Amino acid sequence: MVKPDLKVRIGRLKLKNPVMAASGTFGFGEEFKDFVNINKLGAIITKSITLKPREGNPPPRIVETASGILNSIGLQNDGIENFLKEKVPLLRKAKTVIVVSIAGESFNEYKELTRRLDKIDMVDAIEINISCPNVKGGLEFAVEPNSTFDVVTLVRRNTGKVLITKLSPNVKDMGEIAKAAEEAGTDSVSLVNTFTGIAVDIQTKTSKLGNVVGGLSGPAIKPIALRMVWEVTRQVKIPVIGMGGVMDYKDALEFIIAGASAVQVGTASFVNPKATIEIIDGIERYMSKNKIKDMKGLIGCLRV
Amino acid sequence: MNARIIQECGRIISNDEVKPGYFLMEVNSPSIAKGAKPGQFVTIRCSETTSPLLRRPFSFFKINGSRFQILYEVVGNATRILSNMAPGDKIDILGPLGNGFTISDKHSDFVLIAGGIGIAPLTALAQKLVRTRRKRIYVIIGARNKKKLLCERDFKELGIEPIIATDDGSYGKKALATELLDELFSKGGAIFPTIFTCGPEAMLKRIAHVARKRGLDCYASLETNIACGVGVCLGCAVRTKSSYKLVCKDGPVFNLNEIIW
Repeated sequence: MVKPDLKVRIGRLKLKNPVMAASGTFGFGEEFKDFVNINKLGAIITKSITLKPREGNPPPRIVETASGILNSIGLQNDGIENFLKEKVPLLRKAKTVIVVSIAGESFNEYKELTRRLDKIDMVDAIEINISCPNVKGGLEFAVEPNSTFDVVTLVRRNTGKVLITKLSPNVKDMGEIAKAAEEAGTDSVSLVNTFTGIAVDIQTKTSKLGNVVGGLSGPAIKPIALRMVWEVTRQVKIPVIGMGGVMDYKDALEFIIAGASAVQVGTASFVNPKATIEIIDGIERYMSKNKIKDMKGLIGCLRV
Repeated sequence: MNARIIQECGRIISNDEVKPGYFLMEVNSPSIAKGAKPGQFVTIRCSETTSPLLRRPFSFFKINGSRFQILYEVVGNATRILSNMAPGDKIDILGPLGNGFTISDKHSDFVLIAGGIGIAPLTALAQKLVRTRRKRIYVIIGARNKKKLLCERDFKELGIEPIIATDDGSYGKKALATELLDELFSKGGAIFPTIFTCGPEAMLKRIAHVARKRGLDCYASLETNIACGVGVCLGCAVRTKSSYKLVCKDGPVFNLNEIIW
């Protein structure tokens, strides 16, 4: 049998396979290049950048819970200025699709970030992170369809680049938010960002996180994330990128069968730095074995 | 320059309980051992299941050719699983990670002071110091009691007579390790030394105080929760005088005077 074709499209964007390294879990690619062939990835999504540098939340910022991780990093990053100067030259070396994640505290910040990135040719797409649960106002644009519509409209007006809007699961109705983002011109939605949660130290009677509340990721959230991806794919026409506890190729296939055009791998890269690559190889083996020639034969084929 | 980070499948040579609750594991892991420096660490995937999920960090205890050793305390599920592994078993190791101890030529005497399992990276350091320097090395080991005292023999084998403090006086002096540090200075031992330390936060705070008072350089290997180990998740931040720094990438060894507790 011929080699299966793993290529997928997100808007105009062509990915060589459906596996993307999730924002905040893969740095700027550079950090993994010693032990992962990053050129094999479908895409790298960089750590979210903000207009001004952000120092992040007080430690502890990470705590492991049952089959999951609670984090409250707080968008620590050196700001767009530093990103353009220090990170862009490194990213240029990567032979894969580069998606830059942005997070703004106001409409104006989203506009400014978009304008700056629009001029950079090596930025293939922008992921609008309207769903960070760990900063004040981080969720503001993700919880109401109207504000999601407004922020995506604004970003859309300021760039012709492919847009992915990253959605929060901490909302009443993800479908409504996804539809608002679609209507405003996003090329894709990615979901889910982390679920807000708390872990308590019973000795000190304090939260195990410096910021008290954090965002839960990892295998613990997978069934819920999967349900949400499935629901959203039935409500929008644009491609949906699924994530939430994708640890191996089987998890990735679950998302794809449920309707995701691509998946993002996050927590798994901490557990096994080569997870992304192993997932790509696993999907390919599965397709060969099951005589599925391309991704179209797989995406959204869930029988209900 | 640090060696390239490598993910390697190591083979366990031995894994023995050296004191109740404390294990010494030797691993054959040529690519990682080759580039390893005292003060650096590895992360080990202790389980293939999702709980425990994250890799766990361990300092190099001894580095010998294509092998290295880790000394660890069984504190939770991950270390319990690790303690049940047997010679011949394979384990997934990532390393060497972080920056090791920096030893400059201007350093005169050395004082190594450890609390509990904090002795692990200092043993690797002592091994290196003895191999390469002729300066005087003082070692102070603090433990809760005689049963929990670690590595006395390892230092003796290196030709160092460690000064020992136990909380309950069941061995050595009934004192805190930091009290013996003060005593060492007041007796005139250790002339303007550089201090290297690792141990519980309360101990590090007291040592930072002593070092500041005497105007001494003091470097500590810090312990914290670590997720990625390679500086991407930004989860292991510590507050320093300049900004947040990452234990995994900027550390784990820090100038103790820089840390804001």
